[in-house]
Amino acid sequence: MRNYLVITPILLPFVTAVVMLLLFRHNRTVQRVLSVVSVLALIGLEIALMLRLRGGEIAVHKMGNWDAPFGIVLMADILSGIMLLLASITALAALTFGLWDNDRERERLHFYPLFQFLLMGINGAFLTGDLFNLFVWYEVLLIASYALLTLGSEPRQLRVGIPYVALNLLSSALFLVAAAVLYGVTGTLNMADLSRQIAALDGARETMAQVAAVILLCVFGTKAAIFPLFFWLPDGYPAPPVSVATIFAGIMTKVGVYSILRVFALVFRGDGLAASLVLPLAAATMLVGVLGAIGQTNFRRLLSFHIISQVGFMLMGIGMFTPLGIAGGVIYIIHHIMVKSGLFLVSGVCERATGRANIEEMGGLMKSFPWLAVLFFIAGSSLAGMPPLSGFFAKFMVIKAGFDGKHSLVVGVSLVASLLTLFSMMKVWQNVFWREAPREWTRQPRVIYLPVTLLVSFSLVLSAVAGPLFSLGMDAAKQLSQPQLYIETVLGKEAK
Amino acid sequence: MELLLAIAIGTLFGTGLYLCLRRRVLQLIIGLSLLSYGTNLLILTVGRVTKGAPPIIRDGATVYTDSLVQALILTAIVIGFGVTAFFLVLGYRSYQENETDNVNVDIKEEEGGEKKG
Repeated sequence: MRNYLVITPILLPFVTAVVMLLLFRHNRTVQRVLSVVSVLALIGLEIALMLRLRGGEIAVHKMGNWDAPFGIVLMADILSGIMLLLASITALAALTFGLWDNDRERERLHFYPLFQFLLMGINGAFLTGDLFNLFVWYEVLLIASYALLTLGSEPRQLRVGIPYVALNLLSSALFLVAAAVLYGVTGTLNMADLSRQIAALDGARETMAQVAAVILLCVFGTKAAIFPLFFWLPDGYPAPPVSVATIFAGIMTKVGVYSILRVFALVFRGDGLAASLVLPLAAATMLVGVLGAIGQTNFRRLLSFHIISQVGFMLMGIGMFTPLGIAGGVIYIIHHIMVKSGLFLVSGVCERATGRANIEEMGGLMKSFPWLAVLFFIAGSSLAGMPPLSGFFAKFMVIKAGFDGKHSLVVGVSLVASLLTLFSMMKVWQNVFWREAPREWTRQPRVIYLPVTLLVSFSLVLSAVAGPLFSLGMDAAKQLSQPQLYIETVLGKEAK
Repeated sequence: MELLLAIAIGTLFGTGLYLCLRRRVLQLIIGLSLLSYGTNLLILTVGRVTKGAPPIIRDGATVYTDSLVQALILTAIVIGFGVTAFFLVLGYRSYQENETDNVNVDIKEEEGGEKKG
């Protein structure tokens, strides 16, 4: 099947970036307008794609019209559609914030084309159906992220850039090792075909496949910042400007979580040593992340530790490999992307207003910026899991799945972590918004609230449509629980 | 032959990892380059090492060498080359701005500092 709609989320950012670089390299205004228009068009195309995917069919596009498993295929199922849409919405919010926050130097240094390339890599990672192609898209998005992280060359950015780049290079090398091992034992790199072949392995080949699975867990775990591979995140995310930090915080770790879900649900079918490791790692991640957040006073570092903890929740849902668990994980991803990006943007506004990065030096923002305080309160409570906000529904699904699967220890850890998350959010609220202001804060232009409002209202919409959202999550989970569906769609009806 | 390749890959990985854990940026970069060479050799090895077999269909040949593996290695080399070039410049710029090439510099929290912009 030729399904051109599937390839547009990759082509559109690419064409936009190339046009910006070739034709409008020195024209700031055109670059800004073009970026926003491009991301809006991207959202439109992805909505169209989601409408086509609603029926449960997987849309497949064969690159170069080569048949799978010899050629590379792009496959879009409901999970991919959801992730694409979330990435674009977050990108829109981060971009619009950046329009007001970026300094001229960064814009001159090709911020907007780099942003589009990052988006292209992210979309490619969500759409690909081939393991090596996933590696290539990972590299695209990583290189764009290296450039965005260090853009502007502040000493701090360069200092954190080195461990970030080194760690990601190491994990890319490991990714290649795992892909090579899987190719060696099965003879294919197509995800659907791997799923078919790995299920039929035994003996020494099966052991090698297990080895590759554990290596892949390490690779995607580094990207997703799980325990014990998360140490790059709290150092790295406070360094770049807010718009960059937002897109990193919102989407980049979720690419890792998505890869874990895709590879372990589809390729390894939830079996094996690596798949059984996900749940204990999730518990450790939840706890260590939130314990790290409690002691922090730097606003963005605190939020970064919370990212780690919340990734643990997502993995808890995914690690159970039951439909309800996976659906809970997917809903959690949706909720968290919106809320975390919103929180990062709130921290950005706070930093602009006060000129400080430390919550102990802020205060009284509720008097000066009441709307901001409301947004933070909603987002923070949603993160902690307060009903009736989206966080509550996401946590409820994941915890219910945990009870169904009799994983009481992990559920207990998740409840403790939720309580500590609430404590941490209250501490931020108290320090930044509630108490007396130590001095006057500079007024901010009204427009800067727009992206934050967008994200937080999306989170509210999520809680309003919790019912249909639940059905969507279950549809995605049911698709993922049927590897046969992918095998038939990608490899053709006669494949068995 | 595979034994020789395995020893070479192991040596490259070991040396690369040792260099990665050193204190200076350039050693880190060279270590990562060695790691990527080891990885490329590994990809070559899993493609079943053959002697004198053609990669493209030719009349009269019965054994072929795996051409997909060669394509994977080429992709990996090009990607590695691009990222290494970036990393070298990053290391040099960091040395210029921070006046040290020590990788283990304490990431002190800029607690009370004025933020730029």
